[in-house]
Amino acid sequence: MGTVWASGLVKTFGTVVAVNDLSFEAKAGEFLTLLGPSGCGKTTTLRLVAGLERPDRGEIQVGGRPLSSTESGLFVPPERRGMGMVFQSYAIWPHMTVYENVAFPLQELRVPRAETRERVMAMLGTVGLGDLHARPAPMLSGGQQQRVALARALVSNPQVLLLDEPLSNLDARLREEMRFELREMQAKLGITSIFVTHDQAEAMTLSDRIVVMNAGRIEQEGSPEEVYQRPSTRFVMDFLGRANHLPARIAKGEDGSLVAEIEESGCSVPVAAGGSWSVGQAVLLAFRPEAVEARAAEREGAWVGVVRSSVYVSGRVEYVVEMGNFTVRATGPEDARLPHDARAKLCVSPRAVRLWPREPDANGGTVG
Amino acid sequence: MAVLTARARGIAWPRVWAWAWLPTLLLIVVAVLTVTPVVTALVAGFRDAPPGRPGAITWESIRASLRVMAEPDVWRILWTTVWLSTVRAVLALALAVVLAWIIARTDCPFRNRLEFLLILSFFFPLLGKVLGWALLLSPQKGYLNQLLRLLPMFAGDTGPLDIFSYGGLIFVSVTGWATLLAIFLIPAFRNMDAALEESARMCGASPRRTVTRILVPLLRPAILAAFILSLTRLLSSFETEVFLGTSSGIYVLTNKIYERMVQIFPPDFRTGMTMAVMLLVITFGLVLVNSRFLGKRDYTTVTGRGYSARPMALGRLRWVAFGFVLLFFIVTVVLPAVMLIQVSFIRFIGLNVFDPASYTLDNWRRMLTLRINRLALTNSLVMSIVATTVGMIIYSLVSYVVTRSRYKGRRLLDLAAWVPWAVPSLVLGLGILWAVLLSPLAILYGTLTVLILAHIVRGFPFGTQIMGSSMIQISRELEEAARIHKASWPSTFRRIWLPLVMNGFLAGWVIQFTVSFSDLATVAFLYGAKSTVLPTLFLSQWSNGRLEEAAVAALMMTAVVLAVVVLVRRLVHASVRTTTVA
Repeated sequence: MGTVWASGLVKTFGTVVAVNDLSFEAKAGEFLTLLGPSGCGKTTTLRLVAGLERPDRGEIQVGGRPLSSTESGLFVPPERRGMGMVFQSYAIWPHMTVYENVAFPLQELRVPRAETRERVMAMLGTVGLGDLHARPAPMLSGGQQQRVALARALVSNPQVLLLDEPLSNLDARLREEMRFELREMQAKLGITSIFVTHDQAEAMTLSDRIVVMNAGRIEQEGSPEEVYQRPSTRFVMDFLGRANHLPARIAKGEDGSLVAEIEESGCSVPVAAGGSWSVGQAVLLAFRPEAVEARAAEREGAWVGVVRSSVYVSGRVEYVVEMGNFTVRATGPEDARLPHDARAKLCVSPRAVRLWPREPDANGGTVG
Repeated sequence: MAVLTARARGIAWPRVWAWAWLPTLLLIVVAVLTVTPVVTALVAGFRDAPPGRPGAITWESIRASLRVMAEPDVWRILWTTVWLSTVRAVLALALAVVLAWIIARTDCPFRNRLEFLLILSFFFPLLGKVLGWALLLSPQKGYLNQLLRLLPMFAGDTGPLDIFSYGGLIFVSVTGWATLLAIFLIPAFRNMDAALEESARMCGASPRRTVTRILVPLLRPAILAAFILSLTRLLSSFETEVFLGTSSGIYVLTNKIYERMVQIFPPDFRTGMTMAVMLLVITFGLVLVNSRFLGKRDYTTVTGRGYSARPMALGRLRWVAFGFVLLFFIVTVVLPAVMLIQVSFIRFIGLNVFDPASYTLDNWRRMLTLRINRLALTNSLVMSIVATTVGMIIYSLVSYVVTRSRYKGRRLLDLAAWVPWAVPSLVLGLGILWAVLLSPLAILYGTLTVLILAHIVRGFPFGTQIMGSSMIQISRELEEAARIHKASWPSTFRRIWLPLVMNGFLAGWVIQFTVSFSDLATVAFLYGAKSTVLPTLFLSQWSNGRLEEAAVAALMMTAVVLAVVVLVRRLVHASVRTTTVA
């Protein structure tokens, strides 16, 4: 199994820079996800790896074998890259049966007929379509088409599997199901996989590592936990889930360590050591709703607000709490649901708080 | 609950009550219009008297018709018809596939403009193309031949090329048909998901293997449909044959039928009508085979989201592709059109083209002042506008019943509307001629009404097709949403339906108008002294050797058709917002 290595990739379409100096590596057997909003260049990146687009600059290697290099002018066409790919529309050839679709790569490799039959049937069995091999492709459901596409991509034992939003055309329940099947299959075969999606939940459940992309560049790279818990930019934090963003200022705490004080509130959280913050600096304080627990409060004080609305979301309650002139999204246990207009104390886990520098006058806030 | 039921009844009421009789009436009208000409044509083929005379089908008359069918001459003509049509259909298809591929799937420069040129060429009347090329390539006076003779190898008084030959006939037909087939194929080429080709590349297929194993098989249904379409139409093609074939003794069924019944005296109805029956049987058979064949395989159903149509990069070859399409346009439109314009201003063909004294405005003056010519122009306009407008309204009603109602006979209605598809225009004209002469409507013979009727009948398959497909695109929910939001049925029709089908209606109107305005085959047997139209005027001018005036008539047709296209395009652009909803 090969390591996919890409360096300095640039691809422009007319005046639009789709991929801008991108470098990444998918280690052998790893499941790597390219995650980002539409138009961030993730699909183009995948197509560059596949050889369906020719990069303007940069180099791509798989397992140490150069596939594309603008320096030496090398460009291996897609059919000789030995990769498997699942397309967003599945691209199941409608003039062939299920069997013919899956057998196609082996026929192109001139695999003997008997062996082709054996391998195709084995592969169809693996994806659970063994009894549908003679069915014409147009008579398949979405989920079946998806399985055929996967079988076709894997049947020739490729070094690398490329997946271009393969789940986005399925309905919600099937998507969930296919997600686990896909992961299981990938783990069993140990095949290096690059997966493109704009769905952060999909990226979280499937990936060994996530590359978050924006505007043709990499925003952050890391394990699902890392990018979710410790996003390095505001973009990553917002893209991977909901977040509270509150204007704050750095101040000296009672024990002399640095704290971030939310403007006009008296609420503060300790600042983790190691940051390069200076007293008085304007910052944006950010944390996810799950990192704030709302509890019933007896009296007024710091981090105490009024419940404005609440919704029940599978196993817990999400609140919107008004505190002075800002609101905070928080969560709480379902068995102690706070009523409307109740006083609530918010407990923020300091480890979950992220700070970004902020232009001092960005919010027009005054120092209290 | 009671209130709810009453409401529900209130909504369903107009459909049940007011519209119950309409579909049946429509079915009867359509069936009478489309089936009668076929029946009368068949009857006429075996009857023992010429049209308009009392007669009957007897064993004697049937035997006589069968004897005609057994004649070696008839078989030779049949064979010529078949091979000539097949060759032309194959060549036109090959050319159309290349054109459609360049425009729909490559990065050929200015391909949108080139597509527009193709559409322009579609609206250039066939009679104009035929005359233009006859003027360019007639053996002695053809301008292109004169130019070629300047080359030492072609020195002489005549040739080297002759438009009045199999080659010339094939050439003019193929360029004309390639245009139409390309327009027909472009959507199929364009709608194909590029991922289908890309996934073949990912599976290890080279670009060439991708074309042979994926692209061609995928488009086979569309290509086959195009082939059958052109073959059916070429078997019954009349204009090219009568103008370019007859004079040099090239006969296919259509121009032989015309010769037997019009060009010789006394007319030989027996042979003519028998051949018409033979032609009818062939085209019907082809259409039946086709519907059996294509009914099963419809690949268009497989389209997911995330579909893409990335054009194929041709590299430097893209300019070759561009030049190819441009050359095609020059050959099909520019050269013949320039020729027509030049000849329309010349005193008579053969005069020195560089001498200003050779030129005159008389041809145009005669066209616009002579009574018969002005009559032809007015008749053409009245006939085409009335036939097209009345026709499109009927076709819309038929389509509505077929696509939207639960009327039991809607399949039958659909079928009845499809019958003229299999009937060659010339035979349709003959059938209507007989039907009129055999019925109390005989007083209508030779009037414009009969011509209008013929064009309405001819337009049924195309008209219902285009209206049906634009109605199918309107989801039932759009209609139901209007009803829920307090719109009555008529108001729903006016505010929801009409705007949504308007573009389809106008597009159908334009094409139907174009065909009615410039088609000769349908009216060749039907016109009389008072109901002459531009195509028949063109025919008599050509037959009398007044090609300069025929050029004017051809240009008049072109000008009117283009004016209508431009006018309606403007209308469509004004209502462009509706297309995004549909």
